[in-house]
Amino acid sequence: MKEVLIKLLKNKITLISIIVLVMFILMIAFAPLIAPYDPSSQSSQKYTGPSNEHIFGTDMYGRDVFSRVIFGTRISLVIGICSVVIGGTIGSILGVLAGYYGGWLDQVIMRITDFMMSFPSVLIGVIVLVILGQGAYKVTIAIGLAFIPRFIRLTRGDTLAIKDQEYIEAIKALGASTPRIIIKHIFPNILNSIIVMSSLWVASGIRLEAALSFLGLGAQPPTPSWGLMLKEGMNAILFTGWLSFFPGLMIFISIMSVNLIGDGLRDILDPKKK
Amino acid sequence: MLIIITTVVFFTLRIIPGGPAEAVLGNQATAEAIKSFNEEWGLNQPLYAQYLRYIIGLLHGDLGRSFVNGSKITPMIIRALPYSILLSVAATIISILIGLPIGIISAIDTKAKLFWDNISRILALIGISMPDFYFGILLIILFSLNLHWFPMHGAGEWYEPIEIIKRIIMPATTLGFASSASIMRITRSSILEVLTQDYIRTAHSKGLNETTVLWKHALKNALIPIISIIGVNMSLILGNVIVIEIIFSRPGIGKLLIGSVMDRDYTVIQSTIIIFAFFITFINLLTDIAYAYVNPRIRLK
Repeated sequence: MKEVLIKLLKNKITLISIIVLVMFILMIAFAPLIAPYDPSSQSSQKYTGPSNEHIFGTDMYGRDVFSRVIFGTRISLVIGICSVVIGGTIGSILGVLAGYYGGWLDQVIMRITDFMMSFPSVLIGVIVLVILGQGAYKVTIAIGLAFIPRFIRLTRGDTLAIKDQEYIEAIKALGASTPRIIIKHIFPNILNSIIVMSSLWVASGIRLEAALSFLGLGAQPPTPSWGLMLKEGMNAILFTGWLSFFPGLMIFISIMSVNLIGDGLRDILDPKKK
Repeated sequence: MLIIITTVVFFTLRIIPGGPAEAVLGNQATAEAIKSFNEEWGLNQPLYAQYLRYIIGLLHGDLGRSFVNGSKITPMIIRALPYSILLSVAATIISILIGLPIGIISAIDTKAKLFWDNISRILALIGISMPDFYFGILLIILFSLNLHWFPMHGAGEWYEPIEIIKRIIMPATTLGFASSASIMRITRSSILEVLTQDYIRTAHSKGLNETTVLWKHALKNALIPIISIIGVNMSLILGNVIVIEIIFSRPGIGKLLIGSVMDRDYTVIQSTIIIFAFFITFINLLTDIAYAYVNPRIRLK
């Protein structure tokens, strides 16, 4: 763990991305302290551009966009991360089972996976949200569901690659039970690629959350979510372009930093898959 | 495949709590109102009967009527579809126009290897990290609101082709830009890989000149992974069309879908999702055919 961290910090680009991500995490933790205004307090100054008082300007209700962007970090990053945790956990378990047992279980799981993979994630998200209804929690579930097949495919492939290796055979011959083989010997060996994959999919999670909220299917107003703020900015684009500029910039920066960290992690943990 | 999708969509939409009657009439609706609504739409019949009726209608090209305003769905979709198809195709063309040349140049220009390495890396990073909806908004701010080059809304009418073209440039660029990065990367890596193969050396030693080797021998073989990535991109583009149509308020199948979701118009939701599924399946089929065309080895199987 320590080695990985040291290697990560040696790469300049990864280091900068980590600093950016740490800043985002600080924003999540200390949003009320950093934000100069209450994100939902309204004022008479509407649609102002960036100024000394409101560095990102104000929106259609005169709310401070900077404060809303900071509080929005909570929604967007937390949904991005949680959806990957949901999708990653379920997907990895199913993928390992499919890869290890093979046979009809594998057939069924892979058919469903291929079926879902042929749909773009946005469409899966929309369909799930039509069924569940709208809201921040539901978006997390919808994105998590869209990610499951991706993780199944990855972990199944990795499991297939190692399950016939000699050391697994040896443990089997020693009489280890199947759950023990999976948990103690297969899982640790594929964990690295799961971590790399997860870090890259967090970026997709942030982006999908923003897209679905932008469509009005995710977090509902007055929640400060970046996607929702983009939508509000889009509605007001004839008055001011700034309103959508900053939330979008935050989405861009956060996705980019998570992607770069993911790339850095991959170079260290999983050098084969470059 | 399509039958599975239709079945899944049909039954999952039926299990939504409240049902269509409540969605349309509001939650204060009286029991009688709900009952007569259900009778009018045949919702009191058993599920399998409703399902059969829907499938038979579907096979006849009749998608039923909208719960909310009662208009027929098939004409709604036929009106919206050309806009979405045009947009997806234009976006794919733009992504190829950006991705393929840069990919080829970066692979064969060995003198400036480092430069092209960096260009391809930066473009790929921006392509992955820039959400298309944000890119679209930036284009609107720059080209519509400040430079006034392109109108920001709508798609234009079919009898004015110039308007159509003017209004499709920004959305298609937005969609195409995101996928151009992957096309560029694949083109570059597959050409580089093909160039190290033995038959390229043979072609060189036969005395063929550089251009012939590249265009006749290398590119054709490098094309296989490129075509598959274009296929993958096209189905991604189809998903993103939903968001882009909302941003540029273009008529189209994605706008129809989101509009019907907002109105909780289940029959329209169901039909648009099925149409999407149909096109995704169709694109996958096209990709397979194109694959077999450039790679005769697959055809033999």
